[in-house]
Amino acid sequence: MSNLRLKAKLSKLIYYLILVPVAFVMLIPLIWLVPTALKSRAELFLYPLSLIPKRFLFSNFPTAWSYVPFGKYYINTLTIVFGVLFVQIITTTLAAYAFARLKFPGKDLLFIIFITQLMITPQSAILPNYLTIKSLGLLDTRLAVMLPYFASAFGMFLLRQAFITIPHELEDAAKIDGCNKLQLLWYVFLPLVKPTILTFSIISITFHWNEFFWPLIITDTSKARPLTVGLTLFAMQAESGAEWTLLMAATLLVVAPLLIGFLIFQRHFIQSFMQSGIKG
Amino acid sequence: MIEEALSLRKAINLKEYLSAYLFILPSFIFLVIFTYYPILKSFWLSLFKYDFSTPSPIFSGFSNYYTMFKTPLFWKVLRNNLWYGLGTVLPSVSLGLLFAVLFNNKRLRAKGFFRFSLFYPYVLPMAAASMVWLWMYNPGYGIINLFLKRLGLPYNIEWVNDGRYALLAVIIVAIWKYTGYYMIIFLAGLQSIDEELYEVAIIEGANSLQKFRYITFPLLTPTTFFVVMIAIINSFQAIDQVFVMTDGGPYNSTNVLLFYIYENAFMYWNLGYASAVNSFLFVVLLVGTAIYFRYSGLWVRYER
Repeated sequence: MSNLRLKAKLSKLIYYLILVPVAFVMLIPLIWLVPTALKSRAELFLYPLSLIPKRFLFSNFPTAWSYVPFGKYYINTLTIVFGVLFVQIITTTLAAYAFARLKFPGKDLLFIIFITQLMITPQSAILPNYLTIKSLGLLDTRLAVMLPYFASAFGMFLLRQAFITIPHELEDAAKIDGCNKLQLLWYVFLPLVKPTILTFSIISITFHWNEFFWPLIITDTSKARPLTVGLTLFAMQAESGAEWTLLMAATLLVVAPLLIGFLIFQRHFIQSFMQSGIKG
Repeated sequence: MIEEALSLRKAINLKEYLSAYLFILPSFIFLVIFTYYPILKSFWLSLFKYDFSTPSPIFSGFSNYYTMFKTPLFWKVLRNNLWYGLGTVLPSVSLGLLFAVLFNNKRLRAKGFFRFSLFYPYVLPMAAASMVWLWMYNPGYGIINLFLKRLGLPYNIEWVNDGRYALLAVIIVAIWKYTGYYMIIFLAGLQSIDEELYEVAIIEGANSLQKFRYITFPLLTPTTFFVVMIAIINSFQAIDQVFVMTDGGPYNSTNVLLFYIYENAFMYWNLGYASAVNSFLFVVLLVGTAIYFRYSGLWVRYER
């Protein structure tokens, strides 16, 4: 018996021996980012380097903020992220309901058309979409950054799966009470699938907060630029290499909301991304 | 009576059809304009000479494809992309599997901490993370060279400015970012394996390695396949870190397909040629995603 217990202890020890260093290595970028953002430029090049700044220089944040219009970038990112989510919830709820509950000719064909979108990665449509946006006269607008994402086959599937599990009796009761289809969706269906909406929202928000390449191409001025693009342009301005403290302060500003959200809702985040597959 | 009921039934049906189409319409419009039309447009444009000197496209058949297959840089870019794929997929998938197996232990403490440290890279924007890595790769003051120096290893490495190391530098960032994600997919797979199998194996006297070899790994095969496909598809979509860290250089050593398309389209305004490369990438990605869907069981899940 004691032999077995010894073995269990030993295997536990092996886990920690591997996982602790691995966790440490994974955290290095974060451990390296935060102190740099708080150091003075002079201290940055001192040797030996210390993880705790001698003097916490919080002024790096306002200084970085004054170089480029981060306030504007923040507003742009928030507008894009929540604008996309808002429209997606409407379009996906409607389509999901139709596919989950209604009968109509051509349903299977339309379903396949939706499914196929899951297989088409947005990156392979960037060049032609740029031309479309250009011909619509929408270059350098926040709407242009959002438009390609207004329909989400992935969101439609998640919601459809959730809608299917809702008992028909609830629907019938609401119909007898005189609900039309839209009221039915709003008052009966949506409240019942809140966890699914949360899952989809986490994936959508993270994806669009992080998106870089499409907004980079479609925006031209700070009018529509989101944070990720603004940050890299700031980096190009500060290319001398001596501005790392400001650059890391700006980077921290860009990643902080997601990092804090992830810290608080860790389980939700992980469970959501378990379902996201290639769309994430 | 019967006829009246039938026509009423018909009217109700028509009303239901109509509302169904109206409900699908908004999604459908955006799908068509921003997913399906672009694919056709990309193929269509690839058949034209359409560049800075020819602002109105001239039909040129398959000449863009011909040019593409004859351009050494295209092959170099494709090779880079394959190396990048191999270099990221193998380590991140196998590490993800290893960590998932280690992590799938009920007696483990500080799970929240481990989970956070492994998964947070996946949540961060690649562009911002690349900025941090750029600072870590800094030749004079970056933490990586300082660490190498401490270990007594060669430490004057120009990580992103040396053609020998730049691709490796980009690969390391991708491994760091995706390993935690693959780990949690493996974890989900592991948790679906029946505990009793292990109990039987223990009674039969199997050690940990045998349990992994004869139970865990075979039963995880579908998950492994799923993860490998996601990883391969991801590798063909890499661009953010290339853009931020190396700009495709030095000497195109980190130029990958998507970056090559970007260069040709938006820097040289060679739209016909860029469309040809784009269509090539589209086919590669479509083959990948089609295999992924065919075998991942998602088709089954999405069936009624």
